[in-house]
Amino acid sequence: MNNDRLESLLWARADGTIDPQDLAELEAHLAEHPEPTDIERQITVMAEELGRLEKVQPPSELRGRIDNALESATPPIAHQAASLLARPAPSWQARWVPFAASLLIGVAIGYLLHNGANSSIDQSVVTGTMVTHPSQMETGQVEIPLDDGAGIIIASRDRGTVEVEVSLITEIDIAVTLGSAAGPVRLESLSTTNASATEVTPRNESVVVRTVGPGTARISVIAIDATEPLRLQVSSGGFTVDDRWIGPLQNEHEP
Amino acid sequence: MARDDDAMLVEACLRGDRHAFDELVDRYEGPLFSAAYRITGSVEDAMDATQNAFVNAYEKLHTFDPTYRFFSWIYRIAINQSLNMVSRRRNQTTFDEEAPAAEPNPSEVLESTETRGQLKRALLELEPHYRTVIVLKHLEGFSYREIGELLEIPEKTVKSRLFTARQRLRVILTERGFAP
Repeated sequence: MNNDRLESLLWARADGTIDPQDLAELEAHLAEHPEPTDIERQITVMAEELGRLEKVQPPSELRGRIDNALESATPPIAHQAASLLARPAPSWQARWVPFAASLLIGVAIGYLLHNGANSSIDQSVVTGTMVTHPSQMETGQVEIPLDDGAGIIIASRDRGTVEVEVSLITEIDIAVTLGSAAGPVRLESLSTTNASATEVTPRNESVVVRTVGPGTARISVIAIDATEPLRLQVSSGGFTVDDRWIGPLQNEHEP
Repeated sequence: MARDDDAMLVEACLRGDRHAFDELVDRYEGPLFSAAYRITGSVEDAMDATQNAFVNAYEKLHTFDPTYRFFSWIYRIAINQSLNMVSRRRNQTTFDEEAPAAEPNPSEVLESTETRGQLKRALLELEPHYRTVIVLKHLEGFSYREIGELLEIPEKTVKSRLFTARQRLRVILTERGFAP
């Protein structure tokens, strides 16, 4: 057994996380080498002493400083009290009501312009308005630059497939969640330049990818319902960096 | 600490009850300061990191996801604040011994003061991200999974980072003549 392996097993034993097979291997090794090595002695003492590190009490003036700082802080936005994640997404029909209204208004304006003022309006403009409408949905490619030049996230969607590329320049932790309000999503592929620092958690209605820079991770996720918008959420350090809906590209010749 | 209680306090705060947040400060000022102090090695920086964590959390409370624990969320903010402090004062590695222990135990202090002092100083010589995993594991007793959630890194990264951190710590101690 080399020293790295021995060290790893000794710490796992000290942590109480060693599995039975590894414990058997360690015990066999220790039985063969009954005289404790420097590493064994050091790890035993380190584990004991690290476990005795005291928690420290905050100085009494800290509370006053916090209170003063909170007095001049900006209150949280109350109307967003319900978490974006916890908030039920609007139904597909409900989301299309404003789309349909936009379409009707667009067609009406086009009709009036065409017939009343003898000018023309490109039908694709009306279609484009409908597809890219609202506030919550975008189509095609979305670019999300991270603060301080830490990297960029590029997402693109074609029908049911969303591809996301997370390019990180600095040692930043990023979590990307792709989810659907309407049905299951499936992880199609993952490639990364930093496999040891990337973790994917597939759930039924979302896929979560956590990765640490520097490096690049590319994921491809498929929504079973190709017509449903998918939600892209990006967070880092406990804060939501970005949150948006991405809809499928719609061919204007399709119904 | 009751998770539901925290959620209720957050909800009350988002409805405009500013004093509800005071209760959260009461609960978590100590743990946050303690971790910040072990990461920064400075009372003043730990106070700044703790204060900034509470102010940032308050101002961005509407972005908090209530399906997670409030403590984990604010603890993560405090760690990030502490690491920011460390990177700002990268060259300052003196360990501040002024912070009082929560429960001073004279006999224990006498027992292995020297070894523990060596360990604390060696800890501050580690790179901040290595120091942080050791603090979270040994000071707070978090599991690998919890550390991964706090630092937003995969669990396997936590394990490898912790292994390297302990190995480097042992090397530093050995160079200082640590030979039990």
